[in-house]
Amino acid sequence: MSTRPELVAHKRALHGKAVARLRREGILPAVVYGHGAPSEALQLDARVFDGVRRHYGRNTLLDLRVDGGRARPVLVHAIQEHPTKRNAIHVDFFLVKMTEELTVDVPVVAIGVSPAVDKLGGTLLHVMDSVKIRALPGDLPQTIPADISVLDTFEAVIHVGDLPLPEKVHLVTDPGELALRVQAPRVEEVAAPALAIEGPAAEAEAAEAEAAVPEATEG
Amino acid sequence: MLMPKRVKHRKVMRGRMSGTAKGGTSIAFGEYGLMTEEPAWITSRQIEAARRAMTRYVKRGGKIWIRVFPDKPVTKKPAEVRMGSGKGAPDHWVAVVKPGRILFEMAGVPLEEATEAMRLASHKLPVGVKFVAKEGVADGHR
Repeated sequence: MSTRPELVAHKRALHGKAVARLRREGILPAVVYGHGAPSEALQLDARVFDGVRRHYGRNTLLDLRVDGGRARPVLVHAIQEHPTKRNAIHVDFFLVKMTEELTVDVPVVAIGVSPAVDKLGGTLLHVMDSVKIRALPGDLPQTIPADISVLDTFEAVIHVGDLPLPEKVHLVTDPGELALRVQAPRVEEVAAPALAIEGPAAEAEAAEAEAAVPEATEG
Repeated sequence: MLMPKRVKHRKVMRGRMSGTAKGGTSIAFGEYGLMTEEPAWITSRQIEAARRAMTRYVKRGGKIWIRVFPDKPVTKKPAEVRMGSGKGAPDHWVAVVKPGRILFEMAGVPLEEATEAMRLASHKLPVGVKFVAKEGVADGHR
């Protein structure tokens, strides 16, 4: 018996615009595919999925059981969200082979306290929110911790190569890329420079109407 | 105020704002965001007023990103002019936003401060907005 969180789904007969009816009833349309298996339209309880997503994060291996069948290991491959309500409206599950390496994005999480933020009043910038790694499905970390206590000045930076990776996990992102840094606090408000409307393409046309565009040419 | 450096066409048609935003709907740079719930033309003055409101509230701390750019010229006819005789002169610039679009982002400030700064900014905007936080930020994971 695996210790992975289990999701129960059912085969879906409704496709296309008809799935809106399912969503109204609190059912989330989904699809599962991967490894040559034919893609299968599924439906599952939206609230159960939200709970699993919130509790376990995005990179957790899940056991997907369809119509009481055998549990299959899957990863959440993509989630479509409603643009304003922000809830999931469709989920893609990817069937994984436990012996085959996967490339996934794992979020970088800052841990500790940076002296440049704490004492100098800087702002921690997550230049890179997540890094791409390659590992076996069983070795995938949920997050990669970045110790920001080394960021003691505004010049100090943490590169992707500096991030501690668990064993058997390989970095795919360029190790020289910037991951985290601290930005110096703003000294004073800087006014945006005044910009003109005219350009090479519109110069001739703009010349006669320039006087009539006071709003656009002022700062 | 924000405006394009140069444009291909000085006057453009009004267009329609049906549907929801197709891009710029997720928090890309900061930890918190202000999302519009309505379609609207947001003028460069409104963007600047909202930015100032936020900047003044958070004072020295934090960083603010403006995720919309007013690249659409709006024309206006002079006062007391009869209809006809062609399109008016360019008057101001607007950003066309649709529901779901993130207007501003903020990082490096506590949640309460960001909420209040965004609330002040929302009063400068012609749309209903919603405060959103990046996944895992509001519950202290990041």
